[in-house]
Amino acid sequence: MLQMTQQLLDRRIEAVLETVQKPSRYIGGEANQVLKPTATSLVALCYPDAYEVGISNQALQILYAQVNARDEFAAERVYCPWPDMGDAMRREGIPLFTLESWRPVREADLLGITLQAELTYSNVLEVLDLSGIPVRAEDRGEDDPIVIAGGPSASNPAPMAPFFDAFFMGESEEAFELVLDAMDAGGGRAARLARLAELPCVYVPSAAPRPVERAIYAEFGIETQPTRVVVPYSLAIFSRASVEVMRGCTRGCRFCHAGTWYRPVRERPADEVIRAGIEQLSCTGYDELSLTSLATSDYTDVIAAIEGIKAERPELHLSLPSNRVDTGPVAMTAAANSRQSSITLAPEAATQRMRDIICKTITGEMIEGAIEAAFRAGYTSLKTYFMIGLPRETHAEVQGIVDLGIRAREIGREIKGRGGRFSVHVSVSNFVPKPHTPFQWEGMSSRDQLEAKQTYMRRAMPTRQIRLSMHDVRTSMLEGALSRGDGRTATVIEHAWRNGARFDAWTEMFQERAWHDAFTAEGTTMDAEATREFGEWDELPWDNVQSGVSTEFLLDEWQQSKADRATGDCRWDGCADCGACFGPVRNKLVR
Amino acid sequence: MTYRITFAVSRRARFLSHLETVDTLLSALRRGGYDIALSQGMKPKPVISLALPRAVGVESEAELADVRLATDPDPSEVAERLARELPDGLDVIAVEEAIGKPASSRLAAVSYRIEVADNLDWDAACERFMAADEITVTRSMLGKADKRVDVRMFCSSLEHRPGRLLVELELSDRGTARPEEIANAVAAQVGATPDIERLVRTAIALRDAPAGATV
Repeated sequence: MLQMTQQLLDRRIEAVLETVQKPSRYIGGEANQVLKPTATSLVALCYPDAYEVGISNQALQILYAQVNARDEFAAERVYCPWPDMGDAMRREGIPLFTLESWRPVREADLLGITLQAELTYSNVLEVLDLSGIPVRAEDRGEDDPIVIAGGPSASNPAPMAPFFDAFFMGESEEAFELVLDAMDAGGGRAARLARLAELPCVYVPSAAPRPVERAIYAEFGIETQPTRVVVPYSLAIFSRASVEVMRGCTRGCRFCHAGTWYRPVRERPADEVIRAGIEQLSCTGYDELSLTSLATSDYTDVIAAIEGIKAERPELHLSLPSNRVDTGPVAMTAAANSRQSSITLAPEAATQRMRDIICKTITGEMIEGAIEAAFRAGYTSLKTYFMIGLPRETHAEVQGIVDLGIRAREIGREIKGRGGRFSVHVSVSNFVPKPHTPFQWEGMSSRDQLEAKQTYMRRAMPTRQIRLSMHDVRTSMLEGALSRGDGRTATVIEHAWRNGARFDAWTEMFQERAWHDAFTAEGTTMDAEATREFGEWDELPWDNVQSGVSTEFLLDEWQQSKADRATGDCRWDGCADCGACFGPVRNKLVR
Repeated sequence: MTYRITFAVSRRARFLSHLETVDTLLSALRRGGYDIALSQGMKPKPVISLALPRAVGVESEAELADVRLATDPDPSEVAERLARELPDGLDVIAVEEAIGKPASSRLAAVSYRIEVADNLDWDAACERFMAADEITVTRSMLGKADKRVDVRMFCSSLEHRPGRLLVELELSDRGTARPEEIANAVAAQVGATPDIERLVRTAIALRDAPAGATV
């Protein structure tokens, strides 16, 4: 690509923006964005999906603040251009650019791409290609940035290994400083990569194989909670202030990747949460604050935090995502935000047997209590989340979801009256086994089985006041084939992307044919990969990555699940010896 | 108190949509320390209205927004704080107390500066355009059938200066014309198509509030 001056590039970008949908995705300039003309090194931070999805990601906000806090580095954002923009850029010879300065991404020294979901993998290749960076690391030269992955899906680096120079494992707050140091110490590409390869939490595919350890931010201090965050334009899917009150969860749900990957539990004291929340509100102009974590009702200081914030900002709407299914948390959620008319409960499974298998330690009584509390609190829309395709699922589990939907409607009618205005939304997703979980050895349920179960539910679930929505089986199968993939999967991903796959998580964009052809070319099928079972002695593609949680613990949990036995939470029921704690890394509750 | 904010939209901010412009103003006011007054009803919403929607990509030297704050700060203070909080490309021109009906219900006309390449005989084209009784163009809208519209009747003044057309368009119950429609229709008078380089809204004219209508 010919070099062009920034002015010329700016003009050409503006000309293209005249022709595309939602041009505000590409303009930057939002309140609180950071421009650092004096910095000597550009770090491009990329979420490989559309602006409205990527801008809402908390992890990148932390990294943006962290990198910009160092004088020599300027962090600038980049997202995956929507296909109309991508096509226009190729046509006009415009390289992918950062939002802040509209500089070409290829001019960055470091390009960090977060892997939050497998269905963004084709977009990673799209981002690299639009930037003019060779998609395979082996083809990159001195003028190309070092391309580093992070995020939860990096925990199985194998399917994306050929496309990255390095993978950062775990939490950035402390350990990413070491990556920046390695970048700052000078030398060429090889020298920098060699230094990165020495860091325990960084995997460099081109370096000698060795185990890589997940970085854990044991301290979890409030000072790393960003407050002056970028205020996105209104197309963003989430637009509110948020403070992370707790990281990690030890409930031990066996399907849950985050339940392993963010151990142990660390909480922030209420007074610090309140201060950070109020400060963020005044820096951003938001009128809503979210107290985020994997399960905010488990946060020890949750009441104190809510009351403290309400005392300072009585009109504020507080949202508490991901609450436990029980009466208390529902009442608390209702009290925190009177504006919301809908509430979400995630029982995940509808029978006690299945809840024991997946270690979701709630009872049928708690679920009914929560539904009742929700309707009594005045909610008119109740959204419930379930999964199908879980290990050892029988007809009873599927029927159970239908029955629970009907039961929720009954409870609604009892409380709101027969003519009462309310609706029950039953949302059903398909279980996808994830690395580093007790179900990592399990195969995914077959496409036929999932489709048959969905068909049954559509027929069996009444439609009056109940809305049933089910996740697309096609994209679930792909997610399953990618999540536990290996080196061959990388070839498939590149092939599918060359066939036109991108934005796979967007139903209207999903190109199933491109993926099927790519799997076939590798001598396999999407379904064979997704349903593949591993034996307990098999080598796993992600064996080089140490989450801190031992394989013995995961195996034991898998066995417990086969015996329909749930395991307690180490915060209250004693240590289960998962292996996550060592030295300063341990559960850190405020009380 | 309700304030009328006059502001300019330029550079990259011209790509903001109508809704994004509204939200950007609101969040800038909140960061400035002001609470926005909320409407009555089941779902209270901030009381704000932009006089005339602006098409994405069009710049403006004279956007009008009426917004009610929960308190009564001095307009000059609002202007100062807003100027500090608005992102690049949105600039405050004036803030004053809004008296009478909202600007959006008193629209009279809108003026544009259409910057064009002088590669055709614009003076002749403008003359023919203004001399015509009716000039119909086809307006296509996404997902709707094409529509034939007389754009001449909306055009109350048209002038060519070097590199630019200055046009005033009436806003009425019958609708209005778009500046690029006018440029195209004018050029068509001499059998040409225009190279439009920039579209800038230069003024929004309001009808006087009828006597006694002061709120």
